[in-house]
Amino acid sequence: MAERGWPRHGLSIGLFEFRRTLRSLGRSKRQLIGGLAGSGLPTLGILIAWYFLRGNVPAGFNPADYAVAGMRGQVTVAWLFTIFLVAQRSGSIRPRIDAQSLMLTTVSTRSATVGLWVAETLRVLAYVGTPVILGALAITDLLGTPGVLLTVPLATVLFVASAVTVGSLCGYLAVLAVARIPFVARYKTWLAGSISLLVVAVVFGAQTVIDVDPLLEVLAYVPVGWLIDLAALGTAVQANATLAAVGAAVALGVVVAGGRAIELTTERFWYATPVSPAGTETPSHVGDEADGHWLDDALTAGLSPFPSPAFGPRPTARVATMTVLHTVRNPQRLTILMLPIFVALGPLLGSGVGADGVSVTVAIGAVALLSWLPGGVFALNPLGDQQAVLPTTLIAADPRALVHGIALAGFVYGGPLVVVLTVIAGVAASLSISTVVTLTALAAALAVIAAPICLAVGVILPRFSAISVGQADEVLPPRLSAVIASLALVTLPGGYLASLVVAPETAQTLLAGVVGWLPALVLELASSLLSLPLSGTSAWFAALGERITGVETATFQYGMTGLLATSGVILALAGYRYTVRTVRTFELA
Amino acid sequence: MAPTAIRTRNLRKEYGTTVAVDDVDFAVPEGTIYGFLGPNGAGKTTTMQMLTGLTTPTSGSGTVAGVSLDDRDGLRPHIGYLPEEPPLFEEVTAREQLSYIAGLRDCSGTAVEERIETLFDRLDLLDDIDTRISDYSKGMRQKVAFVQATFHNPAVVFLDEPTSGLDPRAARTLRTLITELTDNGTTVFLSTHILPVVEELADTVGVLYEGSLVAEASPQELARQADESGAGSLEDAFLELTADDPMAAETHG
Repeated sequence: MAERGWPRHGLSIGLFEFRRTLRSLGRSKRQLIGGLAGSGLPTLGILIAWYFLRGNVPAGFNPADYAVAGMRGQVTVAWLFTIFLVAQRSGSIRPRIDAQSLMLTTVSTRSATVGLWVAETLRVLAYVGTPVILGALAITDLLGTPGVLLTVPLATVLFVASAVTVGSLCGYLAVLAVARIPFVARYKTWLAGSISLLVVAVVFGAQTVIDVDPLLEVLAYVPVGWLIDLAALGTAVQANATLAAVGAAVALGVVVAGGRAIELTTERFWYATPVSPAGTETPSHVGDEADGHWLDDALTAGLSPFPSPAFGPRPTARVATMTVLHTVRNPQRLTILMLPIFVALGPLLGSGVGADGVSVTVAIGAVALLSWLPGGVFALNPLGDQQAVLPTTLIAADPRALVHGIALAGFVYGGPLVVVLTVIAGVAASLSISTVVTLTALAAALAVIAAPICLAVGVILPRFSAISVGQADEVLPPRLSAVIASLALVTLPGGYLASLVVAPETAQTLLAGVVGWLPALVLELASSLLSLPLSGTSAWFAALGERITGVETATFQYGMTGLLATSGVILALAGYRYTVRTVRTFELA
Repeated sequence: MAPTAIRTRNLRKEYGTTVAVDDVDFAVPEGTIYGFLGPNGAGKTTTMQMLTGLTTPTSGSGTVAGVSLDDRDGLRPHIGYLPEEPPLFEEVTAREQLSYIAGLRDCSGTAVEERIETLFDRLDLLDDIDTRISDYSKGMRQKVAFVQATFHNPAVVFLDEPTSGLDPRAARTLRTLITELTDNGTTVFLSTHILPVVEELADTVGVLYEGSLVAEASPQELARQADESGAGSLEDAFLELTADDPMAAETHG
């Protein structure tokens, strides 16, 4: 039962939580940069557009010629995407209110729920608020329509509030399921991973493979999409006032009904005794007198039904198994890996997938990314991944066993994946069998080389402290700088090697362009624009480009392959030695 | 005279201009319990980290089980370490945790398993051995960490606040287990703020204050030094030795 004054309490909690977020931004450079980039870049774009369009609106431009009907489906897509993001946050980062025992003995569940909802809504509004308000101001200034100063913010608030409501509800339902249903608790990693992959597949699939227009037409019937009509009411753009009113009413209804549903969910979740995910985690045969030796079986059993990477000497095998188990039970730490992968994957698929099917670009990209993946998943924070156990690991483990074990986990789990996916990518790109075989061997060899490189990057750029706040304090992902550095060291040369296999002439021209013609062009421009005496240097670079393309293609192909392969092996060996030495001499602060 | 299990000579650790441990010398005979006392920030943890090879001394030297402190590979088979924060993975069960550490130490076989199970049983933890650490209380974590530090019968065990978070029954069991360790020849280096534990268990007590070893004697001798009338306690001695103002110590006493 909610106490009297719960709206005031909820608002107060929400404002307090929001202020805490702002303060934490000041302490976290990463979050601050992320926030500024996410909000600042659109703001900058609007300011630039406003500046250039001011007094320069094309003479024939008439807003009444345009209609918002075609944008309704896209608004719904944006709404669904916001729900997805909010659901992830409420399910993983903020499933509970901070200082829960204090809060729930001070105010009602409803107040706490409202507080969390207010705080999250304010966070999203803070993110989109500046560009939205600036956009409304720019439209008002350019088109003389002050009405948008009311309608655009109103539509935005309804859009955000309804999306936060549904997203929060989804997140809380997910954590409630984990807390109450043993099956979900045990397989939450795989369920969450499958859902994320499904979402990604749908997003990328929609972008690259399927015709999205029919889908957008269907989504245009979702009333929340009609908020675009509300936003446009203050302008001469064609919009439907009735739909705008219905859209606003539905959004409000979603907030009220969803809010009640959230309260019911949090009441069950916050006071529930969670089921233990361990449950039957250790099969009954472990510790059985007849079998004996549970010491050797316990970790392997924990991974069941997945195979254990337990090969080689016992310490190595045990590290490998624990590395995989640790990743399986702590999948959030991999989230940071997804960012660069998706950043690379989007343009790659966009450029490589078309009506004719998968192009060689995708095959090359697959080799480059896949060969990095095993090392990226398991080896990018070898010391930090030991968490509080690090002192014991350093005392108990031979450094080589630790390094070998982590690499082994990648080989055993990543190796088959690299091979299978490279073959699929090669076949889909209609490459010859010999080329597919060569690419596959290359990807496998690169994966072996990538592991020690990733390990070395991981010990140079370790992360020992959790970066998230609240409930996600235990998450220790690799540092983003480690992800980027390892990607650069592995995927760039790896991709180039793959292109030498698939399209050697293109690779040759690419190198000539990058190290010859491009610098020559830049120097030539600098020479002419700044009157600097750089023509001679420019000519030298241009000649270098010509000399590279002048080399016979086969000679270039084998020469560059040998050079890159040798460099990779040397780098991998150096990385291995450096990692072992660092682990052996690592000192606790 | 028993052989020496731990010996340090002018052991020193500096962090920038701060001297954490200041030329500490001591020797601990094999099979004894050395109580290591000191106020917060005195340098106890730093000393233990140097003795376990986890931190390199700025100067000075030392040996543990006859192995030089700068030889971490050599130290590894001979030592066990329970840091103040139980070194456990949250997402695994106690059984999996022990399997991992035993694997790292290349330990296996029925004897090791039986020893672990016996320790778990005596610490009343056997029924929870397949529960995830994240579901454990502080005391349960402490018990698992103790087993983890001692199951391989090391020559020297370093225990930092081993009874922290334990209920009285578990604390007593742990004290018994620590005594039994020395019966089997293990040397125990025990750091704790719970003075009655040191008073009961330690053969020798070293008091570290602002990085320096300011006293070293048996608990009884230290108590006697604090009050020659014989009415003193280890607590009196500790307060006196670690007080900036000796008058303040007197008022506490």
